[in-house]
Amino acid sequence: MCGAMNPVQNAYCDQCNARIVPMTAPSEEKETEREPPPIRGLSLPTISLDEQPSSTPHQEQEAKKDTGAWLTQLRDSTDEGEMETLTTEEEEKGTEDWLGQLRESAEASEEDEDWLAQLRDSAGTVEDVPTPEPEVTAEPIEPTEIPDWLRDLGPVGVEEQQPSVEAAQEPAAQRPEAEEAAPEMPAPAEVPDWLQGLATEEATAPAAGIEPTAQMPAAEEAAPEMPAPAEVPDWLQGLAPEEAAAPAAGIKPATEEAAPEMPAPAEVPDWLQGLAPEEAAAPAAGIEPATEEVAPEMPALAEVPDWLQGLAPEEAAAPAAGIEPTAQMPATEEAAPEMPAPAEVPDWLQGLAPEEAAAPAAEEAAPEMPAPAEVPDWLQKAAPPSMPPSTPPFIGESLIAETEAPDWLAELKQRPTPSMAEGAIPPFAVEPDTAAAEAAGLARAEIPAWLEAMRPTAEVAEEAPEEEPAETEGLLQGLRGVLSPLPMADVTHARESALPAEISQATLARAQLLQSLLTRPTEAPQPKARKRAAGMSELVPRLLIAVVLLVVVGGLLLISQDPALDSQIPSLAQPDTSSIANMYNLIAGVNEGETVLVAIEYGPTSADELNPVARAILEHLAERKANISIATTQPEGLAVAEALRSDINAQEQVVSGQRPVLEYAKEAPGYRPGNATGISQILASTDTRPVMIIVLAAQPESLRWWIEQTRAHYGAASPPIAAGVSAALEIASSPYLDANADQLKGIVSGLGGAVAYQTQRGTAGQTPRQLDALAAGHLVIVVSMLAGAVLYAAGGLHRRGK
Amino acid sequence: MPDLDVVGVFVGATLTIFVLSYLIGDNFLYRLTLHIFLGALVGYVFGVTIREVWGKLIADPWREDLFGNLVLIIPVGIGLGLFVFKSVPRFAYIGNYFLSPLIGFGIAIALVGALVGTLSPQFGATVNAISDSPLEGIFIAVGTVCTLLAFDFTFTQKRRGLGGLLGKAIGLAGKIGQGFLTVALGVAFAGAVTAALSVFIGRMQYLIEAATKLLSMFG
Repeated sequence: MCGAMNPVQNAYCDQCNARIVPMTAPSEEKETEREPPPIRGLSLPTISLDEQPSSTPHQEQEAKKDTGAWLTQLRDSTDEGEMETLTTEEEEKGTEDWLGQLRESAEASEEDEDWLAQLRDSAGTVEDVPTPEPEVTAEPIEPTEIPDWLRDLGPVGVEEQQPSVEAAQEPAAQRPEAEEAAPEMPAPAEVPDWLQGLATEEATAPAAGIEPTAQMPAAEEAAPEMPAPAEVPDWLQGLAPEEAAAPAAGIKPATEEAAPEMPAPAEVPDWLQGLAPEEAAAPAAGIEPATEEVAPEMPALAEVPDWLQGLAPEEAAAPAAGIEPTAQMPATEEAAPEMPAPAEVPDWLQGLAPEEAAAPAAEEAAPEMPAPAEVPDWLQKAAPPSMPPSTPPFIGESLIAETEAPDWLAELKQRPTPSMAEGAIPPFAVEPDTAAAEAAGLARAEIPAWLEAMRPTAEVAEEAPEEEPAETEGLLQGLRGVLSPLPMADVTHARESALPAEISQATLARAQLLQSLLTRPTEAPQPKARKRAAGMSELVPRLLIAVVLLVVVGGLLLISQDPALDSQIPSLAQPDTSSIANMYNLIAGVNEGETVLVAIEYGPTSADELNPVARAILEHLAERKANISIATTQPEGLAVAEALRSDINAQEQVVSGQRPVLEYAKEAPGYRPGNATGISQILASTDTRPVMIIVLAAQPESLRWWIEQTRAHYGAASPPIAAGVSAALEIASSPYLDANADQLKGIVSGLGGAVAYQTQRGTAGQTPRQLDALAAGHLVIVVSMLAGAVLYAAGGLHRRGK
Repeated sequence: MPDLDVVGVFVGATLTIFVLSYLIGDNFLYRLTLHIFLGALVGYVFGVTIREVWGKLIADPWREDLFGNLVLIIPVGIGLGLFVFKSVPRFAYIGNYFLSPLIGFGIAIALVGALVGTLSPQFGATVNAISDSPLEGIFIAVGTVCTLLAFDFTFTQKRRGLGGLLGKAIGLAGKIGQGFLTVALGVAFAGAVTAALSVFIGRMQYLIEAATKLLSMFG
């Protein structure tokens, strides 16, 4: 670390970029535990919630450290300063005397300080600088009772706020920050006269060599926002001129943001009034202002203890040597409107005030000065003559022993403290000596918790190094709390396998079962065919019906075997020749040699029904000497066709030559697999257009495919289609047989149609008896159905009756 | 040496009796006859396929002009692919690629035929029926619509307002359609019974002729 002072909000140093705020935040519990009982005798300022600094725990800890630093410096400076010779008894006796001496010495120093006069002269050359109006109270705050010993921290901050050379030379674009900070500055209640006078002189006192630039109007804008000053003690009024002259070259101004947070002081005790003249002259050349963190967080002070009153005159006596008006000073004109007007100014300050106002450098302090009402400016800038640069000015140790001083500060006086250079944190005695204070007739006052939290304690000093070890190498060498160690972050524990040494039999069995289940082929479970044993209730009716059918059908068929008996028994049914008339007429219209495509789409299972139909049609076609082309999409169709041809040609009339022999065309399509596709291929493969297509089918699909593909292949001018189908297809073929559709020209349906067709041709033979058997069979079936329905109803009624 | 026709008639008559033995329930004779029938049918179909398809459609054209009929490699390849891959379950999925053109072409042909050969002519027939004979046409139209609405299961649900009225009307039409369906199914059942009875009569006629032959042969 470079040791440079930085603003409070800085997390890293502006000079060396080192981290200022530690990485770890102190726990809130510790802070609450550290809260000591309030100390009476001190009337500490109160801060409204809005004005309370929103400092983080890091910032508070930093503030503690800073406080400890300047307190240590305070002890060092007081040991080396002139205050060292003073004793508490002398201070008690001759407070008024030395205050008077201080006033005289202050006046003498004022006379000796020609540079102040020069400053006033140079400041008077600038007439065009607008005069700020201190009466403006943008956000007036009621002055409260603030101890002046704390209020004196304000001037310190003000001194810090004095613009440095770099700040003075900043471009005008950066200046508006001051304008932004102005509205937040509290409004002091009353402005001391010397400040009022100073303000008028500041307005006309630019620094030498500084020309009015664009930066200056910023002060005009900030002027209306300047708070109203409170009451300034008389000694401050007298001290003010000297304070204004105090800033030395190279003094860095405090941040402009600190000013708004400065409370408004109320009253300044007398001892401060006496102390003020000497401290007002305290700033020395090259003295660095106090840490900037102190000013923003500094509370408003109400009452200043006596020990500070005694300290004040000597501090004010510190001469401000070597200060020359430089280019930095005009920058303060912008901050001038922000300067609060003190309410009550001590007399000795009033005496200093005219000379201070003449100094252009005072304008630097004035703008950024907090709003002290009774805080002497000399205290705000006061620093022991021996105070080293970059250390906050503080009061002498001898004054701490005053009766009104807090005990913890009084104890600081007695304890030897190590220097900050040694790097050790001073142990602070936080326990106040309440007995001494009460003996002096002072009542113990209450210290706000926020202020108490800022008190440096030995615990924090001791604990910090333990929690946050310092870096040992690199750019961060010597810094603490910059890098948080993560000792256990990357440590990984290798998990050892927990396989058992021995595998139990149960586990092995389960594994084998799982293996068998996984290797088992995925087959759908086959439902087992349950053997259904026919009961007597089913078997008896079934056998009864079978016997009846066998007797009826067999009897009628046997009758046909005996011609004598057949002639005696009349026919039970007469064939309906009208149903086959269309088919008969179509085939009768076929000329010799014309190709008739006959599709046989049934097998042996339907041969007993369709063979009579096919036989009747083929015999008629053979009689018409048509070129019969056999086609089928079923493999057994060709066998059926061949069986039909054999049966027909084996008849006695054929053998005798009474009827023509049935011959099929050699170039017949034959069998073509593929159902509809096969039919389409058959139709496409025929070389000659058939004059008629006869479909002998036992299934409705076959008939439909032939009808559809014929229409699709030949279109509306397709050859006529006739069908010899099973009795079961009669209802399915009826839509195609409809006269409006005209897709099926004729049909021969079942055994009845075959008998009717043969009857039409006059070749019935024995087939009428088959029709009788069919009719008898229908009668048996109908009777059986009625009997079954009656019996079932009777059984149901019987069960209901039970 | 016995006549083969007599043997055939005897075997046929015997197997017919075995099948009719199902009257007393499922038995060995019935199953034996069934297996014999299926085996003979598969063998016959295989022989017919080899003769009619491979012999007439593939071999004969290649024998006449091999290079002129190389396009027949495509159906041969499809057939072989189906036979090879579908016979191995592990590679059965590959056989689907050979099956897909058959299904695709078959569906296309069937769809065209259905539109041209059934749907369009039947629609025209219904329109003509209404124009020629309004009463008959209306009856056909009402029967068709009501039969179709008998299979509606959405509008008949309980609703309120206009939807409820429409649902009730559709429900009533569906009831009428169920009447048409009942008549149609009754007629179909009658046709099935007639067909079965015709087969039975044919078998009885066969048995009588077989018995007559056997009796004439032995007697």
